[in-house]
Amino acid sequence: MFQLFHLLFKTEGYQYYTKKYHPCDRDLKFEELGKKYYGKIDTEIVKKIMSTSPIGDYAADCKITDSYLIKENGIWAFWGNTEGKTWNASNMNIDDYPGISPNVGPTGWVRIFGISGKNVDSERLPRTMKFTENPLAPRIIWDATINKNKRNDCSANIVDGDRYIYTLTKDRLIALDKETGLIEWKKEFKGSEDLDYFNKKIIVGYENGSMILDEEGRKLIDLIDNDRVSSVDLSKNLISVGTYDGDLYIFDKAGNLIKRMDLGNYPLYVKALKDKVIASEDNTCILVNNSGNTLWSLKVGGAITKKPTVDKDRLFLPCWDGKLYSIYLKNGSLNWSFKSGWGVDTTPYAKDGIVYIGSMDGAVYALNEKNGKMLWEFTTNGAIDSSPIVYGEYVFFGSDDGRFYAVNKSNGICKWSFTPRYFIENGSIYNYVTTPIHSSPVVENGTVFVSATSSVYALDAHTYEKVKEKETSSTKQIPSMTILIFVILPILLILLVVAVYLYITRK
Amino acid sequence: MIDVLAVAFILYLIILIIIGIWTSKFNKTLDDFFIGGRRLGVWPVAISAEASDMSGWLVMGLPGRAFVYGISALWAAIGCAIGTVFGWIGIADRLRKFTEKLRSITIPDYLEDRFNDKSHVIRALSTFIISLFMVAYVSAQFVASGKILSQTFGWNYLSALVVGAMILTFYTMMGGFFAVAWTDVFQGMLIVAIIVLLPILGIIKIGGLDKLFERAWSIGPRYVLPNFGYGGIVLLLFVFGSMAWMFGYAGQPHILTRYMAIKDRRKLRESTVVGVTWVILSLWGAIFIGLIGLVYFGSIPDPEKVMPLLAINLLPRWVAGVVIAAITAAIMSTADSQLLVATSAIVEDVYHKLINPNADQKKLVFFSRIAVVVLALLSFILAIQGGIIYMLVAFAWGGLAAAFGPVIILSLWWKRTTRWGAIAGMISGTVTVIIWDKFGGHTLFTPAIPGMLPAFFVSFFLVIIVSVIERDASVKSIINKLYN
Repeated sequence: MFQLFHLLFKTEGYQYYTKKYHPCDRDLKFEELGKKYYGKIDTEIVKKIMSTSPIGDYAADCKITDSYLIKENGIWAFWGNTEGKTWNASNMNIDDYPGISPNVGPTGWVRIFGISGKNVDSERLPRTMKFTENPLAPRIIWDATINKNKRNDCSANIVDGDRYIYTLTKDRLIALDKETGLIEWKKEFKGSEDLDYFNKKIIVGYENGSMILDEEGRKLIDLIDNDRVSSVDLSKNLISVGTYDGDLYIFDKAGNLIKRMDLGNYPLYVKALKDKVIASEDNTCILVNNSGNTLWSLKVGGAITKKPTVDKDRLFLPCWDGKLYSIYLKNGSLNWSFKSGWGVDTTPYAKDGIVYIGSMDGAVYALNEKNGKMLWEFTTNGAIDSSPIVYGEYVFFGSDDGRFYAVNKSNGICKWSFTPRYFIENGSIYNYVTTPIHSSPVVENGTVFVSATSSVYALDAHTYEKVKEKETSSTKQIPSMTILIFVILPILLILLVVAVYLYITRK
Repeated sequence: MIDVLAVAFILYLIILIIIGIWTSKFNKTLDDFFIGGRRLGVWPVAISAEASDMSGWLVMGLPGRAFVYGISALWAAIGCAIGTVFGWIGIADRLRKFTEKLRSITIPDYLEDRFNDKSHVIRALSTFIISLFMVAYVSAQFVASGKILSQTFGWNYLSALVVGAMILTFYTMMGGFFAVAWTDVFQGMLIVAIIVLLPILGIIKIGGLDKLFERAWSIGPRYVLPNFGYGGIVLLLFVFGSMAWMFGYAGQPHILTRYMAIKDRRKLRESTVVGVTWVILSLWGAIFIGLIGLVYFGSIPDPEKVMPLLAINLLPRWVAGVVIAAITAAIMSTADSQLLVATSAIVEDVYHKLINPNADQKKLVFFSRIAVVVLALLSFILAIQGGIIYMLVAFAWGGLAAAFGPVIILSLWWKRTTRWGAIAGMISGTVTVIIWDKFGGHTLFTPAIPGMLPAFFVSFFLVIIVSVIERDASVKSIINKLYN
C-alpha cells in the first residue's frame, strides 16, 4: 500500500513502513559511501558522509563518536543542518522568543567531552553572576559580516596582525581593516582549523596541510601537503604544526623541516616557544627542543584539546579532567592544579601573577599564579570555550550563553556585556544553539575584536571608563541650584497668585 | 504570628466602615446624599476636593512617573498645581454662586438650567459622558487598589481587586456624600502626612538632598535635569504634554461638586489656601518619593509600586502599614467621589428629573445605592485587565476635561455661551479624546501628547464658534439672574 502511494503521489519514506527492506535514496547513498570509505572510516569521514546529500537533507542535529572519544566520554556534535542549509523554524512558536530569526543557520562541529563523576565538583554549581550596578552595552565601532550564507559560523578564529585583523572561518581566511571592518582580501582554505600570526607572517592549518602567507595573503611556503592539520603555532625561531593523526612537525623560521615525530593517533595541539615546542596528544604533554629531542613527558587526567600558555618558568595546561595544571617548564613537574566544575577547553591567559581560565562549567576563574588559589570567579549561563584575554582593567571572553563579557580583572565584576545579532533575551538555552560565542577575542588600542554569528565585531574596550569619565566630569557640575530653583520657584509663584487673589477678594 | 503591617491596615479599613455607618443616618434627602445639603465647612470642602482629585494617580502614578522621568516629572505636578489654583480662583466661587441661584445639585443640572435646555439634550448628553468616563476613572482606581493590595499582602491581583472594590462600594453606598466627604478629610490628612514624611525620611537615609541629586545624576544626568535631556520642539512637547493636566480641572464633576457643597461662599477663600497648600505638599512629595525610589532601587518591575516598596524598605512594619493605608486612602477617596458623581448623574439627572419627577426621597436614595453597586461592577470588569494607572487616569481625566472643561469655564465667564455651543463642545471634546487616545493619535508625537490637550482646544473653540453663530436670546433672564 505504501509503495502504491509512492507510485501515485511520490510520497517519501514509505520504505520505513514496510517489513521488507526497500532502500531509499538516503540508504543507497549510505551504502555507496560505506563501500567507498571501507576500512578508512573515522570521525572526519563520518562528518563528510553526514554532510552529503541526500543523507544530510533533513538532518537537524548530528552526533559522532569513535573509540577514542567514547573512552573519554566525548562526542563530536553538530547543531543544525549538516549540509549547511538554513533551518526554517517559522512553524514553531518563535513569537515566544522575540529577536530570534525564523531562519536558524547551522553551527560548526563542536567536540564535547563529558568527565567522569569523580571529577565533577557539583558543589561549585550553580553560582551567581556579579554585575556592576548598571551594566552597559558597549559602543560598537564596526561590525563586519564574514559569511552571509551561514549566520552561525561562530567558531571563526581571530588573530591580530600588524596591518589587519585576520579571521579564519571553516573555509576561508579573511583580512579585515582594523579601522573600518572592510574586507581587504580573502583566501579559500577548505576545512580550516587553526591560524597564528607572528612578525608579519600568517600560518594556516587546514584539511590538506599548512601554509605560510604574508600580510597581503600571498603564499610564502607550503609546509605540509595532504595531512589534516589540527593546530599551528609560530614563534621567533620555530614553526610547529600538529596533525589529526598525532604527528608533530617542527620547522625552522625559513620553513625547513627540523623534525617530524609520531606522537600517537589523536589530534595534536602545539605551542611554539623561542627554541622549544610543547605538544599535547590525548592526555600526554611533551616538551621537545629544536633538535627534536624530548625533554620531558607528562600524563594528565584527561584529553588536552587547547594550546597551553607559558609564563616565565611555568606552563599552564588546560585539560578535560576539569583541571588547569601549572607545570614547571624546566622538568615537567607539577607545581599545582586547580579543579573547575567541568572540562577546561580554553587557552589560559597569564598576566601580572594571575592566570585566567574559562571552563565548560560556565565560569571564568582568576587564579593566583604562584599557588593556584582562586581569587574570584564569574559564572555565565553557558559553557565557556572562548579563551579569555586581559586588556587594561578587563578580562574579555565569550560564552555559549550568547554574551560577550567584560569583567573587571581585579574583582570579577562584570562592567559591560555585549550580545551579537540574533541573540534571544531570556533564552540562554536557545542562544547555546543559535548564538554561542566560541571564538577568542583579540584587543588592540582600546578596541576588542570578537567573532560571533558569522560577523566580526569591533567594540570599544573602554566603554565603561568613557561613560564613567563623562559622568564624573559632569558630576562636579551637578546643577544643584538649577534643580532647587526648578523645585521651589513654581511653589513660590503659585503661592504668590493665591496671595494676590486673597488680597483682591479681601472684602 | 500577626503581621503589624496588616493590623495597621485593617484598623484603617475599620475606621472607614465606621464613618460609612455613622454618616449613613444623615442622608435623609437626595441633596444630602449628593452634596451634603450644602452644609460643609472650610476644611471638609478643601481637603475633600483635593483628596478626590488626587487619586491613586498621586500615590502610584506620579511617583512611578518620577521614577521613570526623574525630576522632570515635576512638570506634571506644576500643571496640576496651576489647575488647582485655577479651580479654586476661577471656578469655585462662581459655580457655587450660580448653582445656588439655579438650585442645581449636579453638573448636568447646572448645565441644563444655565442654558435653559427644555429638550434635556444637555442633561442626557452630560450624564452619558460622565458615566462613560467615570466608569473608566473608577476602574483606574480599582487597578491601583489591586496593585497596592497585591504588592502588600502577596495576594493575586484579582483577589486584591475584589477586596478593594468591595470595601469602597460598601461605604459609598451607605454614607453617600457625607461619608465620602468625611472619609476624604480623614484620608486627605493621612495622605499629606505620609507623602511629606516619607520623602523626608528617604532623604535622611540617603544622606541629604545633595546626595540624592548626586546619586540620581550618577544613574543618569537626565534624571535630575528639568528637561530630561530633551531640547527644542521635543522639549516643548514634553513640557506641554506633562502640564496638560491643568486644563482638566474645570471639567471634573467630582471636584466641581465639592465647590458647590460649601456652607458659606465667603469661606471659599480659606478653603483655597488649605486646598492649594495640600496639593503642593502632596504633589512635590510624590515626585521626591519617585526620585528617592530610583536612587534606592535602581530598577523595579512596576515603577508605580515604588511608594509601597519604599515604605516597606524604609519604615518599621506598622508604619509601613499606615503608609499602605494612606495609599489606599488616596485611591478610595477619589473612587468614592467618582462613583457618587456618576450615580447622581443617573439617579438625579435622568431618573428623578426625566423619568419619575414625583419619586419620594427615600426611594431615590435607595436607587442611588443600587446605582453605586452597578457602576462599581462595571468599573471592576474594566479593571480586571490592569494597566498603567498614570495612563488610565490620563484618559478618563482627559475625557472629562475636554467634554466639560471649556463648557463650564465659558458658561461661568462668557455670557454669550449658548446651548448648542455647549453641546458642540461636549461632543467634540469627547470624540477627540477617544479618537486621540484609543485610535493611535497619541503615537503621532514622541514624547506622547495626551488626548486632553488637543481635545480641550477643539472643544473650547467649537463652543465659541457655535455660540457666536447661534446667538441665543432665550437665556437672557437667566443671565440677568446669574450675573446681577
